[in-house]
Amino acid sequence: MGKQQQEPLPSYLPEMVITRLKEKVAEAKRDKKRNSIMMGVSVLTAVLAWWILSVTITPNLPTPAEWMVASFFAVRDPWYYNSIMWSVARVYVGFGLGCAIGIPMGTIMGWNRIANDFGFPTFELIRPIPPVAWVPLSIIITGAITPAIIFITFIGTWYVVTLNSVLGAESVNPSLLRAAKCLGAKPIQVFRHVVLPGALPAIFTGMVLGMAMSWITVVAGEMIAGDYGVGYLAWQSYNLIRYPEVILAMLTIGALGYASSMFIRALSNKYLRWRAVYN
Amino acid sequence: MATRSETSKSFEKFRKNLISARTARRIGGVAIFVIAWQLAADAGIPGIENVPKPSAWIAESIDYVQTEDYYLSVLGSMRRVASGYVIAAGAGIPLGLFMGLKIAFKNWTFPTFEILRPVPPIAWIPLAVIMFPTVESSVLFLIFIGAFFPIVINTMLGVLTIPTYVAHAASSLGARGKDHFRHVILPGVTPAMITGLAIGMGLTWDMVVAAEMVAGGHGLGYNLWYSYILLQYDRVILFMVSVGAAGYLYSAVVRKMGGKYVKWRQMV
Amino acid sequence: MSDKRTEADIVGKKVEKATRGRLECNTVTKIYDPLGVNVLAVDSCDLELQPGEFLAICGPSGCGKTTLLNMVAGFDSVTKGEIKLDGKVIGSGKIKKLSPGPDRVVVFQSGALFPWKTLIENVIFGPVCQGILSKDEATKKGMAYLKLTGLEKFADQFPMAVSSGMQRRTEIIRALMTDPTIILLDEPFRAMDALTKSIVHDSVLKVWDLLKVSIFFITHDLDEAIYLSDRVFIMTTRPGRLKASIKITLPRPRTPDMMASDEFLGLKKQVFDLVHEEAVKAFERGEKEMAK
Repeated sequence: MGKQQQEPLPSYLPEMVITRLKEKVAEAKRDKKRNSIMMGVSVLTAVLAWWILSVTITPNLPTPAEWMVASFFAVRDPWYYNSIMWSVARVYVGFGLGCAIGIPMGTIMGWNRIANDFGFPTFELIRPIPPVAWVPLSIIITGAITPAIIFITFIGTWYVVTLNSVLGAESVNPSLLRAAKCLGAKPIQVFRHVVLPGALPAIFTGMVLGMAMSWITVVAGEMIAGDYGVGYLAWQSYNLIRYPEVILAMLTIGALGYASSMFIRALSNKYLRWRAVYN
Repeated sequence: MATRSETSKSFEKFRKNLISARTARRIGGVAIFVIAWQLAADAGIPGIENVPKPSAWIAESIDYVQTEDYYLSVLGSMRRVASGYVIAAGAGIPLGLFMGLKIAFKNWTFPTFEILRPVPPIAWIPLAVIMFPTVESSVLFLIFIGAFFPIVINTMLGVLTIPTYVAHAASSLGARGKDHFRHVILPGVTPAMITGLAIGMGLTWDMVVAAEMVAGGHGLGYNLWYSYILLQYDRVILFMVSVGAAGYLYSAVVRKMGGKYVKWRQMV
Repeated sequence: MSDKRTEADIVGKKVEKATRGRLECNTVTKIYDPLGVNVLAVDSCDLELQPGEFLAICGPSGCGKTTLLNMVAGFDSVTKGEIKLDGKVIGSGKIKKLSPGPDRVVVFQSGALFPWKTLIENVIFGPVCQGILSKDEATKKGMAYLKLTGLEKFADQFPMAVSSGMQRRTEIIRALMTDPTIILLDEPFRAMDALTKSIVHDSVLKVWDLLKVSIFFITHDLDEAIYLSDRVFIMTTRPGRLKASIKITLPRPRTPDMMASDEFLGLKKQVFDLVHEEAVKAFERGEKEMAK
């Protein structure tokens, strides 16, 4: 935010607008400070609630202190980082495949009615099957664990990315399609310059959801059938009665998922600059 | 009079849709998929060769769906999802409303939500098994977790995005606190709340399948995994399809019930 | 402006006399057939637009103005009759394949700039897509046109960052860039406030005077119809057909103060009476339809 202030504001803006913008920046700073205080209070309350739970009705749950101590040692273990690497690699390969196939498929189905007729009903028949339910079949098909987990991650991403790309391409303002035709654009140019950029906001929404979905599926796959990875770490820690590490694994998955969706959001901010100019 | 012409119009529309090139192409698309599957299995393409062929699968499945085992597992999962979901809605809607209405409460609780929300609900499985005494209660808790977060967050955002001018209009017409809640907040929040309920429903079936696979005892997820272990691949696909159908049914019910309350929106 | 160049110098082109852009509609009829219920939208409408003429079309809502425009543009098929542009048939009952093209560009009601392209990228879209001009040549030409309407400073802004008046001017320039024979304006100034409108009007008149392109202009606003056009064509309520064609005798170039002249007010009264008659009919029928 500070950086934005240093940049000279465009000279054609009236003075009133500039003052308003400056006020907004100051306001945002105040909000930020208040939010960080509230965040601390909120987390403290949650930890307190956790502690009370752990000493009263759920004795199996480790107390926050026990958790801290155990985690301190666990994060020094190379195994912890090894698990993270496995899960991250599986998520990104599956997610990448899901996008690479889902985005073209979805935008074409959303744009062309004949492609939609042929493809969409089949897609809608398959889509209600939760990605997690694909675990056994994907092991049957691929015959090995890592490809199977990548496959279900792919399925999880592919569902949402395809669906959102279809909706995005369908939502493109018909006037824009007509305008492009009027200006002499050929079908491929209409697709490249109008349908694809028009669907992009929805595609990014799909990618954010797809990223969340691929973390859900990777964890499920690793718990059910896994050999490595954070999901496996969580389940294995449970089996070995190392309960604090279960919570560590959980929070690690949360942090990784959060970082991944931040990455997608950063990408989307870069490519959707034309939408941000309003603010 | 108006209703009659409406009916005849919609009948006309139905008839036109039923017999058209579009319908033919749609059926064609599904047929191509099934035929491709059959051919791929016949040709012994690596990977697909182990997957049951559609022809054999249908014959096997028709027998199996008539057994009691099958029904019990379907009903078991459906009951679990229904109860977990109802608990999530019952807790999530009031909480979301309260968070939206009382900003101090929101500021206090929301950051914790934001920390827990990125944790995929599936990652709660081991913790749920640790915390709850019985398998049944931990599975219920997991379904609850799957549906709870989207319901709370969407309800809260729904309250926060009700346009102020509507509230001002109500005030200037003499509405007081209770009237506001009944006539402005509740109808205003319904669309977002229904979105949250629909998203929540979407995740519950992932949750029930994963929970039953890992910690199961019975239900569709458990049988899905067990059929795989016992090399009954026909049943693997049957259970997958059953989970899909049950999930579709549940989502359709949520949409249908939700649609009733937001009729005013479709006019726009 | 520091330079003393004339507008024609900026664009590098001035058309003295229009030679193309003759639009003829002969007994054009459009029947919509949703669900087997025939709706007669346009009923044997005859119309002729001279090269370089500015024709305004007025009529009550739902009278088929936009349908007529869509048929000319090639977005909609013609049920009966014939539409000719410079002697070439572009739409008739026999032509089933729709063919919109850069010879008759539409400027849309709600605005159709590509929001993900900057103003200059929007402006060069047509010629670059058709491969007529290279990107550099198109940019040069586009900048000249933008300059003509005072938009050169905003060339690198996205449409959402500029005012609706600037958006609409850019859109008209985008249409001109493909060197069309006729421009079809589909109520493009509808949602604008009066001040913005007057600025955009002047831009339109300026480029029209320079390039002498035929304009087919649909509007609800009688003031702007009379102020801008050579002729006002009034359509009846649905099914749309010609009710009257009124020649606007105001001298050119037009200036805003003409709007207060007696001649203008006289024309306005004449047009208003004709349109109002149709509007009342349309309104009454609308109420009846709602009551059914």
